[in-house]
This record gives sequence, C-alpha cells and structure tokens, in this order.
Amino acid sequence: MITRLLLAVSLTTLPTFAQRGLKDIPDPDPIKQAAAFNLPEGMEIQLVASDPMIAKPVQMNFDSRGRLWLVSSGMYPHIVPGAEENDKVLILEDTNGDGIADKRTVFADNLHIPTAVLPADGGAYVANSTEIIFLKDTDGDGKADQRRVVLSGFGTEDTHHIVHTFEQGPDGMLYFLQSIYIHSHLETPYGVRRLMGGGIWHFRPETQRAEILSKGLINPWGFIFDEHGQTFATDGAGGHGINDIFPRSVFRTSPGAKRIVDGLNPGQPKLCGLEILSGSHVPEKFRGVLIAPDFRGHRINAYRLNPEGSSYNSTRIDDFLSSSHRAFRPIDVKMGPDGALYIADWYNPIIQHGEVDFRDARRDHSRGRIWRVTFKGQPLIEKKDFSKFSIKELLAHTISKERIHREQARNELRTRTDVLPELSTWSSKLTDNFSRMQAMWNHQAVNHTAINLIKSLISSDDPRYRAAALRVIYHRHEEVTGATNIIKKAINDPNGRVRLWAVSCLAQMPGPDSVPTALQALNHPVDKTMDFALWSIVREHQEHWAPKFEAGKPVFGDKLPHLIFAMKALGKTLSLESIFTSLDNGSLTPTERKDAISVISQVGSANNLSRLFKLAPKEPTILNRLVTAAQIRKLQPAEGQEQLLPFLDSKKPTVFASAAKLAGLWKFAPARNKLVTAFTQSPAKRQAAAEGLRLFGDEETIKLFLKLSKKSPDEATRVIAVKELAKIAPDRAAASAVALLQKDKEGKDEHSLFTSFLQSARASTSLAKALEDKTLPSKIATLGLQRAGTSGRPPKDLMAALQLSGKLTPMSQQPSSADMTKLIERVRTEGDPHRGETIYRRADLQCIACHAIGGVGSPIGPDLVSIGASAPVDYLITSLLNPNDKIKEGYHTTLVSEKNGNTHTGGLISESDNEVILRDYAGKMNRIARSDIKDITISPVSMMPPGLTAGLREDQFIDLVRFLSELGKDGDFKVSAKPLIRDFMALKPHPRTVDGMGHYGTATFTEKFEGYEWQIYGSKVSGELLPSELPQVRGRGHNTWGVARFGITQKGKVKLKINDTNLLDLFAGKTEIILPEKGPAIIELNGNDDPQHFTLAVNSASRQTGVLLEIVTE
Amino acid sequence: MKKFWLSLLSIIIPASAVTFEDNDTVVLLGNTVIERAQKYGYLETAINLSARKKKLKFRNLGWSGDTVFGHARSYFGPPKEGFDRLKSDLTELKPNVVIVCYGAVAAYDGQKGLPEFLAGYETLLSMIKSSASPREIVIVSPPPAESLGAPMPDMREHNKRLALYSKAVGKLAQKHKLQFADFFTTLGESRGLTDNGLHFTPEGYQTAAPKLVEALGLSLATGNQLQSEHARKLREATVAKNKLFFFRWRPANETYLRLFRKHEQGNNLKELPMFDPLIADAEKQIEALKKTTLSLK
Repeated sequence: MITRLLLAVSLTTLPTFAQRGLKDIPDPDPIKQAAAFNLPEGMEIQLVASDPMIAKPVQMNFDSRGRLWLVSSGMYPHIVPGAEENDKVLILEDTNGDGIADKRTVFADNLHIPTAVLPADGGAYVANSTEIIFLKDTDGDGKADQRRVVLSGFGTEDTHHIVHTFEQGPDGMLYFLQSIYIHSHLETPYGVRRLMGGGIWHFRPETQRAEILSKGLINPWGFIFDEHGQTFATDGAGGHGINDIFPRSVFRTSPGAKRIVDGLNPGQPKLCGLEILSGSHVPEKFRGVLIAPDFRGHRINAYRLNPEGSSYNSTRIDDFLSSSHRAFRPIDVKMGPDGALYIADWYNPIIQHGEVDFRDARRDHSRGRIWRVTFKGQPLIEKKDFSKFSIKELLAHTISKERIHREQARNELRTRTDVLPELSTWSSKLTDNFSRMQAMWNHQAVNHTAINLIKSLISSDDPRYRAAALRVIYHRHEEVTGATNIIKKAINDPNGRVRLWAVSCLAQMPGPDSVPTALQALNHPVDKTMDFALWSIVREHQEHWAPKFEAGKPVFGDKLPHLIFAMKALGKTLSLESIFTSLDNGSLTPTERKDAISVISQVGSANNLSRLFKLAPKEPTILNRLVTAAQIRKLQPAEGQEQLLPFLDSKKPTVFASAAKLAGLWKFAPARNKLVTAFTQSPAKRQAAAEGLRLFGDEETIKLFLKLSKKSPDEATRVIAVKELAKIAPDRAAASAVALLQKDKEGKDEHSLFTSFLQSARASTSLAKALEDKTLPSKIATLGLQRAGTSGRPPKDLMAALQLSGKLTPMSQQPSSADMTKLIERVRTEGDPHRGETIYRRADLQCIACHAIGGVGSPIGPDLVSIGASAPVDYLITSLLNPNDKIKEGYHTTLVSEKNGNTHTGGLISESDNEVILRDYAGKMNRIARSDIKDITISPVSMMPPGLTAGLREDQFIDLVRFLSELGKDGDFKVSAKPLIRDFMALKPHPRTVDGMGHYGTATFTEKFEGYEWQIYGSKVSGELLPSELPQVRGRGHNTWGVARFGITQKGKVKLKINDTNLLDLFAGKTEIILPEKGPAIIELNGNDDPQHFTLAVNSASRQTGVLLEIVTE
Repeated sequence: MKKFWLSLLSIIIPASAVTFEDNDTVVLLGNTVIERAQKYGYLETAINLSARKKKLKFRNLGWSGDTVFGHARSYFGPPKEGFDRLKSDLTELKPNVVIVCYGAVAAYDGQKGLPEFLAGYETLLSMIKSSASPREIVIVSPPPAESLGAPMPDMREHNKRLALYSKAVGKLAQKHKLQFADFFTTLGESRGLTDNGLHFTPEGYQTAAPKLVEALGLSLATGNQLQSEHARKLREATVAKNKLFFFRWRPANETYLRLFRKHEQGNNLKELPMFDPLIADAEKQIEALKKTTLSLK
C-alpha cells in the first residue's frame, strides 16, 4: 500500500508526457523478477548481483582470475549539462563459491557511457565514447591509476551505436564493433583507417595495427568465435539472426555498399549479445548451441549451426529461456569460469532507444542485474585463478576440454614474458589436431607464427582445421613461407569453407595471380557467399589484373567463364574480343551464352553493342539487354539502328514491347510512324507503343498524346494517352488526369497518376491547380494524400487541393496528453489482440503490404516481430497516427533528385557506379542511372503514409494497437521458434476451376496452368492459415475452396504435422498424399524448396478452423 | 608605461613569434595530436603561460583522423560536409588566432599526395580567413614519428615523408606570410613520447609542450612556474574546461539532436547552450590559477 501511495505521489510531479505507460512498470524486486522466468526442465537461475551493487550493465567479460568485469552506465543516453562523468568499470567476485557476488570493486568511476570492457594484458580495455582506453592498476589497490588512450576517433552520432562488443580472439587480438550511424577515423602507424557505418575491427596491441574485418550490420551487438575459430555476429536491429562473419564480408546498410551478404536467419528477432554454450557443466544437448538475447522479447533465443557450402545454415530452436517480467532486458551472455552461464540484465521496462526522449522519466538509470544459469545434476567445473599458474601449467590448460579455461589461460599467457621457448618445446610434443590448433593460436596470441603447426593443420582430414590454419595465414601471410603454395592448393579444396578462406587469404596478397587463382573456385560449386567473396576480390584487385588483360595478355587462360565472371563483377568496359569470338564460333553452353550476352551489354562499348545487336534476330532477349544499357548506361549501338524496324513488325508482344522501348530510348525517328500506327490501331500493342513514343519525350509526342487524350474515339487509347502524357508533361495532362481520377470511385489509381504528378514541384502544382473547384471521390483523394505525404518533399499545395476536392476533414494526428492516457488505458482494458490481428490483416489497411512479422510478409517496412515487447503503447499509437514522428534506423526514406528536377523517394536498396536502386511504397524497384542524379539525401519523411487507420472505428483502432502491443511478448503473439510453414502462395479465383473440379477433383489445383494467378499469403502470427481469409475459389455447387501452395526448405525426408485434416487435401507435386479423414496427423514427405511444390486445398465453405503445418524436428 | 613594455617585448621575441592580445580566442586545429592534447592540457597550459598576462580563451577543434579537407568531421555526408562544419564552427567562434597542424595523415601518401594536400591546405586557409578573419594564422608542422622497435614498425621512411610535408607547409606559410611553427624540427628525433609511434602519451605531451612553445617563437614560463602546484591545478582546470567545451561543440547523439532524426530529440538541443555558463565559470577559474602561477618567479 505504501509503495502504491508513493508511486501515486511521485507521478504527479512528473511531466505529463512521461506518465504514459508508467502504469506498466513492473515490480523491481529481484525475487519477483526471478519468479517470472520461464525455464526449460533442469535449468536453474540465480541472482548474482543486483542494484545498488551494480547499475546498468552494458557488457561483461571474465578475467584470468575468474572475476567478472562489467561496464556500468547510468549516464546513458546523454550527459546532463553540469553532471560529472561518473560511469564505472566494476569487478565482481564470488569469494565463497555460492554463486553470488559478495565483493565489488570500483575499478574506475570517471567514464563517459562506456560500452565495452575486456580485462587483459594486465589491465582492462574500455570503450569510452570517442576512444578505446587502457586502464591499469599499477599500485595494487584494486583501482585503475593509469589511463592511456589506445585508439581515438570513434564517432558518437548515436550513443547506442558507439564502439562496443569487445571480444578477445583465440589469436590474442582485440575485436570491437560499431553500429550504423558511427563514422570512425583511426590514425594507426600504418596509416589512417576509416569505417563509415557499422562494422567489425581487429586490433593487435603489440603492433598497434587496427584493421576492418567486416562492414555493415545495423547494431552488431554480439560477436563470437566458435571452437574452430570461425566468427559470427548478431544484430540488434537487423533481424537476420546469426551472421557469418568472414573477412571483407559486407552486410546491409554499409554506406555505399554495392553488394551485401545476408544473415543466416532472415526474419528473426533482433539480438544483443552472442555466446556459444560450451563446457562439461552444460548438458550434452546444449553444447555448441548459439544463444543470443532478444532483449525486446525478454527472452534468449537459441540457434544451431551446420556447415553448408562455403557458409553455414542456421536453425532457430526452442528459446533458451524467457521471462514474463517486462523489465528483464538481457543484453549480454557469457560462459563463466565455473561452467555456468551469466546473463547481464540491463533492466528497464522500456527500450531506451532514440525515439524515447533522452530525459523521459521511464529511462531507468540505476538498476541492473546479473543472473547465473546452472543445470541440475551437472557438476560445475573447477574455478581457477590462472594468475597463479606457471607458464607450463597455463599451456596445459590451453588444451583443456573446458573452453573457458583455454580462454582464461591464453589471456593470462599474454601477460607473461619469455613464453616462446617453453611454448615451442611444448607444442612439438602435441599430436592431435585439436591440441595443435590451440598451440597454433597460442603462438599467435603472443604475436608469433607457428609455421610447422599451420602446415600440419592445413593437411588435416578435417576441413575445420584446414580453415583455422588459413585464418592464421590471412593475418600473418608475410611470415609463412610457402603461403602462396598452400593457398593455391586450398582454392581447390574439396570443402567450400576452406575455399572461401583461400579467397580471403588471396585478398590479403594482391598480385597478378591473386584474381586468376581465386577464380579457380568457380570450377567448384559456387554459393552466394563464395560468389560474393569472388566478386569482391575481382573488384578490390582490379589494378592487378585488368590492365594486363587489356594489354591483350592472357589472364584467365582459356577459362571463358572466369573471364565473364570477372567482367561482370567489375562492371567496366574492357576488351571483349575473346567473348565475341566464343559467341560467334558457338562454343558456349546456353548458360555461358546468356552470361556472355549479359556481360557485353553491361560493360561493352557502343561498338560492342552494335555487334551484339546484330545477333538479336536469333536471340531476341538481346533487345531487353539493350534496353537496360540505354536506360542505365545511356549507351546505344554505334550504328545499325535501322535493324530495329523489322522487330516492330513482330507478332510477339514481348519482342514488340522491347523494340518499341528501344525506338524511344534511341530516339530513332524512322520508327515513330510504326509506333503511332500500333498505338492507334493495335489493341494488343497499344500500351507498349505508347511507352515507346513517350520515351521520345519530344514536343511532337506531347502533341500527339494531347490530341489522342481528347479526341480518340477509343476510351482505352484516351486513358493511355493521359497516363503517358502525365509522365512526360504532367502540367499539360493535369486537366485530363483529374477527369480520370474523378471516375476512380474505388481509389485504386491503377494508372499511377499520382506518381507522375509527384515527380516534381511543378507537376504537383499543376495538378493542384487543375483540382480547383473540382470534386474527387473521397477514396482516391485519400490515396492521393497518402502518396503525397510520403513523397520526399510533400507538396503542400497539392495536399490542400486534395483535401478540399475530396472533402476530407483533417484528422487530429496528435492526441492531447489526456486523450493519450485514456487511449492507453482503453488499449489495456478493452483491446482484443485477436480481433486486432484480423484488422491488421485487412488488405485495405495496407499493414501487410509493407510489414512482415517474423519474416513472413513484405520487406518494405520494419519487421514487427517484437514491436510490442519493445515499444511502449504511446509509441505505437503515435507511430500509427503520425509515422513521421518515429522512424526506425534503416527505414528512412531516401530522396533522389535528378538533374532534370524529377525526384524519386523510397528505401535505398543499393548503389553502384552506374545506378541507384530504390524500393518504393509499392515494393517496386526503381533503377535510376547515376549519370542522371543530382543528389541523394536522407529525407525526414517516413515511407509509411499517415492516415492509414483513419477509416477505423475507435474500438477497431484500439484492438489493432492491442494486437501490436502483444507482438513478441510471451503468449499467443510471439512468433514460435518451431519450424512452421508460414509462407504460402494462394490461388485467385479462376473460371477454369469449376469445370476442373468436376473432372479431376481437387487435383485440378495442382495443374501448372499459366492462366492461374497466385498471390502471396502469410499465415497468422500463430502460423495458422485461415480458410476464410484465402481467396474463395469456386468448386461445384456452393462449394468454395481455399488453395495454397508452399515449399519446404528442409532437405530430404521430413515429417509434417497437420493440426486437423478435416476437409483438407494435400499434394506433393501432382501426387496426392493420403490423409486421415480428420484429426491431427503426422505424415512423411520429401522436402522441396520450390515455393509451389506442395498444394493444399481446404473446403472453405465448410471448414472454419485454421490449418497449422509444422515440420517435426527431433 | 604599457606601450613601453610592448615595444620592449617586440625586441626580445624573435620576429617570427606568434603574438597574442588580451582576450584573444585561440583555436587549435588539427588531427589526433591536437585532439588528444585537450585531455591532458599540457600544450594549452604551456602556451597560455607563455602569453603571460594576456587573457586567452582556447578552443580545441582537433579531430582524430582529420585532414585539411575535413575528412573526419563529416558524419553521413562527403568530406565537404565536414569542411562546412568546421567553417560554421569557426564562424561562430570568431578566433583571433588559429593554430593549425595538419600533415600527419596526408604524409602517408608521400610525394605523390603532396600537391593535393597543399591545394587543400590553401582552400582551408582561405576558408579560415573568410569565416573568422583571425588576426593570425599559425601553421604548425606535424611532429615526427617514433620507431619503437620490433614488433612495432620502423617509421624512418615515414619520417622522411613527414619531413617533406613539414618543409612544404613551411613554404606554404611563407607564401601566405603566415607564422610557421616548425614543431617537426624543434621536437627532433625522440623515443618514448608515444605508445604507438604517432601520438603522445601524457608524459609525451609534457615533454613536447615546451618544444611547441619554442616552435611558436614564444618564451616558456619559468621552470618554477611550470612545475608548481598552481600549474598542475591550472592544467586540471584546463582539462575540465575542455571537456565541457567538447560536450558543447561535438555532442554525442548528433543524429538526434541536429541531423535527420532531430524530430525525435531536437527538443534536447536546448541543453547545449547550458554548457556555456559552465565553460565561462571554468575559464574564470583558469584565469585565477594562471595569475597565481605567474606570480611565482
């Protein structure tokens, strides 16, 4: 009672905005928090330390004495003017072995938002805002008395992005990471190193060398070496689960990245921290499992990795643990010196992200917990103080079966002098691969290279050791005699990962042979990861091979595919003689031929294009290639344009369409008459002809469109004329466009007129003027308002005109503070998340058109998988009503302005020397030629239109918010780790089915009939597919069917569990799978990842209950 | 009487000395060596005491990894944005004296990078003149690098490049009739002033400070003054002031305070001017400590 009273009193003293959501604050009592854990059988959890002993832990690491070091930041997120810098490095010890910390030492207390700590080298490295510093206690009083700057120049553009996540590699190097908004400029004795955006660094203190390992990722807050020295990272905003980190890998959002690699688990929760479960205390079934906290969802996810090609596949398995306590925010996980697992809990009811005011009272500055997970019936491992061990004893522990002991011993070894003599003698006696690998790392850890060990491991039968040996060569090739020969052999290794490491090594050793050697990997299976690595080295080392090639010297021997790969990767004009020769003499396979044509069109000169064009009569796909060359490269054949004319007589619509485009792009006047004739006289060619004419873009065309838009007897011709005219001369099309819009009662804008009128200020003003004194159906006016509101520079005049002509009453997008409090309360008491999900899934609301939940759905907007667990309710409401208020990083709109004044807005997908690709509101990719671009800016406008929820009743809005607020919390709306089938293609109604059902039954739906149209269908959060939600395909009589196709990514024999087979038929390819009449069933199938391989037909007239498909794993 | 003093001073101090006037704002501009100097205060304190009774206000605009083009100062945009940022900083601060030290980063490009570097330096100088019209601009040559012994790299080759760049910036100063402080030469060959061969440790700054004062043509405070308890306090107060100024001009979270997420936290930009009175207070303290230090013999 007293606490409640106190709370009530303190509430009245807070600013009104901060009161919202405060009602949700859970009880901070650690006992209550401990009771809220949901643990698998056999697991126990205990509190190691809590506030006030510690506060706001950010990262933790153990030292060689078994003490827990952590950085603690109460200052986060921003210094208060006049406040002292008083963040801390704390050391926790458990002196009596009961698992609870009973001693705390404040090692340093004058830090500024420290984000990482690593005890090593006789002191501790600490990430401290713009610097990495080294703190040392020189007089033994337990407090740091010496402070040295190790590296400086780290950006601070966002304090949850600043340099973080320290990890010591088995190689003795310090690894550290930075996030998306950070720009770092480090001066090293080897030159300045700059990293823009996210990425991973390595640093060797002995040589002061700092280099970039990998670039990109949004918030890479977890980084780990596996037992064989491969590296992986998690991302606190990217949602791709585990990311495979190999040298020079580039991930999403790396500025200027022309190409990226994806993570291993797209659509997964966002993660902070990463650890691999290891050691004898951990039950067998957990060993080797990767765990990573989903701090938004108050849980710790688990993944299992398996080698696959040059990379890995990663499967999410059941959560390691979860909590129903809303303030549990696990952000770091580490195996401890006793074999238990330790969890750092930032403890906060809200996520302290940038969209919550820096001074919001809900930002907790004083709490924090460390938890310890143990397993019943499993003995703990012996905790050791390695600082007391001799070099000999330390070496013995570097091959311990306990990984934590190996790490602690190696960490301690780095602080000793004269390690090498004993290390050499000891190493020479080792016989097994595992021990030799540890010994190889021991050498590296003390900055030496054990060539003999590298050579012994490179010839191991086990590819994991071969890869580990290559990783050492990657860093120290200058010291490894015979490195070149080792790599030349490894590039043809039977194992894909080893070949990938060979490419990485070559990337470190640029020379005339580096690229030709690397491309030998093309003689083996090439997956996405390998393709990326090869593409990357071709470009990075271009000065070492391209000039030689251009001088006419053989670079790739007789390997044409290697040459084609290199050309495509480089994307630059080089001599193409040898490719033409092979095309002419017909020595290429169809795939090689396709590649050859593609590469010529991508990099060839105007003369090359002429030569290519000559081949078009036999290979009409060349026309498409030439269209792209004209659009993006602004290049057309040097001569022979007249050969285009016969194509304009083609009966094939696709050939005609490409030829028409080329005529316009090339401004090939002799073709104009043919286009005009086709436009006015041939319905099948009308649209394509009009597009070709539009591409001429001259006054003659404009006049033609104007004339036809008014005078053509044929309606379709008039409409097309208006639409195309709007694209080139919107001001002159405005009046006719308004007439078209007035007829658009459903508000679909299928001619994309708004896009045309939003391309420049002049265009939007002309439409605004044409709308004066006119009325529009409210639906189309609303759509126009949404489109205008999400364009990079929203035109005020047009928006006002649309409001007026559509008689739209402006909505209050900014509820008052009192209204907001009421709304929040109603969401809590009245909102029904199940009803909310139905509203969310309504097509007219467009939520599913842009957002995915757990990877199922559209990639345009942020995945909402754990939005409820991370965002306070007021944030959700504001985001729905006024999307521009809060924009997730990575989802800002990019505004591209062309030199001609036109603008494009959308999400930035990629940038290259030739083009920029934007994804617009409809998911459409727009390619813009670099040569047309004036500038590219980040727009403060969200791609999400305001007013999407305007059509909802208040109770529906409340249900929707309630649904969103439940996403990711424990319960019905947390995406399950179970491998459920959640992506489907649903059949749209087609007249053919009624008859087909009569002849073949539901087997008719397995037919590969071209006329069938399929739409993407994602399951509900629970994984359920609802028969009533599927398009209603007609059968005999009053029967309707829901028909959905899907693929199964798991390979080989799989078991599929169906919740209920009632009124359900299932086919694998064309073969029906016999199911029991009703009830649950488990059937065995052969996996097939073709997304249309399996067909499911459910009688939607009779069955209401959902269908749930689950792959059964061990 | 005062005039007489001044004329007397002009006789004592060599013609190439930087001159300070009362209430001057002095900007220190450069890359890592300048940036880190603010954390220890040795350079600033030594220069401040060398100015004797003249009241000076120092603003350290050093930035790790920076170049004459402003490479390190831009955030999301091209280096030009960084250059413009510096321009607006200088326009706001209106320094009377700007002490510029660039070349340490560019020198890695050797002879072939020199023309571009010098052209960039010219642009920088004219920008400084147009944005702040300082009374004096001083060009400081970059300090030499140290070879610390294996496994640290041998920096002898790099020192040849640094010598080349030092000479070139000296000529540039001559061309523009600017003061040139040949830090590279006054510091000479050293070992142990740095941890990484490039950047001074605290003790390194302590040793280097008199050499910079010498390069600037100033006369150093007396040993008695420099080693006094007052001087230590003065240095500490200088460091504290520098921190406050750092939070003011180079705040964390700029993406939210000023850039494309300012719609989220731009309201907190109001906190930045709150540092101004704190800085002013710190400067009063510095002035008082300087007086007591100089009162020693």
